[in-house]
Amino acid sequence: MEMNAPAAIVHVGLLFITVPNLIVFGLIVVIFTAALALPFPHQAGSLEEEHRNG
Amino acid sequence: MIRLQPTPDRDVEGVRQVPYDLVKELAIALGVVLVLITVLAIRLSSPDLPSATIQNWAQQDPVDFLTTANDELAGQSLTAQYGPPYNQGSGSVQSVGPISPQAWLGVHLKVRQPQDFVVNPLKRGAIDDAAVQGAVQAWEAASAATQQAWHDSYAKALAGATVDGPSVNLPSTNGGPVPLMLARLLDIAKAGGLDNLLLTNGSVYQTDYTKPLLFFSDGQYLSGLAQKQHLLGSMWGIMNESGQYPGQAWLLPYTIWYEIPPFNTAPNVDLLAVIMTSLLAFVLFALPFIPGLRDVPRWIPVYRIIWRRYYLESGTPSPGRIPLDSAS
Amino acid sequence: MASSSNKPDVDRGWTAAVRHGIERGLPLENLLPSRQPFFVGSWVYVFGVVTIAALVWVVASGVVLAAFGPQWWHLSATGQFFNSLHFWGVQIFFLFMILHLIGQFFMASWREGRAPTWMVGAVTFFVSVVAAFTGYLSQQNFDSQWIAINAKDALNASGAGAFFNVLNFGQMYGLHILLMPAAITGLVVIHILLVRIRGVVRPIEAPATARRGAAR
Repeated sequence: MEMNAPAAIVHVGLLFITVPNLIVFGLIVVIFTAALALPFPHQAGSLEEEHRNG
Repeated sequence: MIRLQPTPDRDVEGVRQVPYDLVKELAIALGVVLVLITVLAIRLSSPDLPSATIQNWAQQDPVDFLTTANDELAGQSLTAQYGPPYNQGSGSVQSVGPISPQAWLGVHLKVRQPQDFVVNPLKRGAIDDAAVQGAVQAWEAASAATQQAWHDSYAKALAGATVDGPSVNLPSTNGGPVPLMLARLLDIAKAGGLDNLLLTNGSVYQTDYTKPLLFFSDGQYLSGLAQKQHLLGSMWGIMNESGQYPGQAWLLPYTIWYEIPPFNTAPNVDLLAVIMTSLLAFVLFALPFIPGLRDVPRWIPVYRIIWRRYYLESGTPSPGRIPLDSAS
Repeated sequence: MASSSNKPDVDRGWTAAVRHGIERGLPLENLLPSRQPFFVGSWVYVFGVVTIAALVWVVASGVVLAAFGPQWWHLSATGQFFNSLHFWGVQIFFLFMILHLIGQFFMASWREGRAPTWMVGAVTFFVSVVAAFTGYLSQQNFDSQWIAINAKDALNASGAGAFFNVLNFGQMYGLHILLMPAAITGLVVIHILLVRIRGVVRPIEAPATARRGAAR
């Protein structure tokens, strides 16, 4: 990819945004959603183990 | 079941504690981020569009260069009429009602654009040319009205100028010494000399580019280059980067004011944008103390997803819930 | 503390008072805890630590760039590589700082005496924006020229242009490589200490069985 060529633009009404910036904003949404959705790996001795140990 | 070992830090403060390795988490994050930025650096490099020079400008758009220099001499350029902190003009002084910090703080970076941008570079750069030095003396000795008449005549001639390869052909003009002065300034600029003459301050070392950048930005050439890279203010260019790279997306809370009515057409948009962004910043800073705003997280139950383990275990909130508004 | 009451003569004075204050406010097991409340179990908690990791690499690559001087990265492939590490590090830093901010907002993590933590975090964000801005002005390329020319109008309008001259490369470069990183590092240290002193905030509408204001 020719990185120094001007970036493509998304132009809708007042919104005027380069595709690379749009990717950054998209990443914020995607990563936040993924962080909410994906289960966090439980460490040893956490919830399950607590229940097992009573 | 009987616990095999005591767990003194469990339940002591009403919340069950579980093992959690913060240092390990930081180490993993350091590793992951290093791999990520190394891959991005190798695959995508980083933006480095070479700087534009006054030499480029003089070579590629000599008429724009001559027009700008002519306006500098007669005090009709952006810089000439700017106002504080460069001079006593008022062309770019912004205020909201009686509030004008720009005017209050006054001139701190004095720029005398006829001398700084044209006269002194000619005195230094054409020191061996008696005709040019004579022209400079004639211009300096002339009255303001005469200088203005020379400017207007030369500007009229520039409007009919044609560019033929390296030379600019002008119709005849009553510009007095101005045509000779600016023709020589153009030659110096084309050779790359003006880039340095505008930096000259009597010292060897120099880090202050105020004068060359002000002169450069008075022309149309530089903004033409910026337009090709989508960097103009009208293109939300404040958060854009040259090339295919992400820009300063975090400037959105500032750049937005340049794009939405009624701010985008206001003559004092810069001051309005600074004020509005400062207000937004204060709201973010003081959020824990702003009734209503600080309750938004309770109304949008994202927290129920983040702490789903907690709510799963403790069931529905009991009547003895902790109020959210205990900020301090 | 038991030890201080045994040695009253030795443990008086400002030094001892500061030490006791630290021991009470932030014992080492709170600074580097090996346990967390059981509700700390979401990737949202990781945004902050990723931001710090990115900051570490931004500072490290910045030290290399500063050591070889402002022109180096335009002239050397190695320099260009370190500049690229710096550039992408900054992008990751801001991306995750904003994610961290959004996450902490939805957790209303300023509750129960944690407002100063939030406010220091907000200031860190503002200072980081200025740091990145001075960095863009220090690149010595077309971006620097164009950003300087455009930014001057807003700074002049606000009055700041009288003493913060974006057209002065030396001033911007000095701010970028010394004052800004020092300020961000200091603020981040204060932010982390505040987090560790107060501990993570408890879930919204946590039942009163969990003692109020005690979660450390």
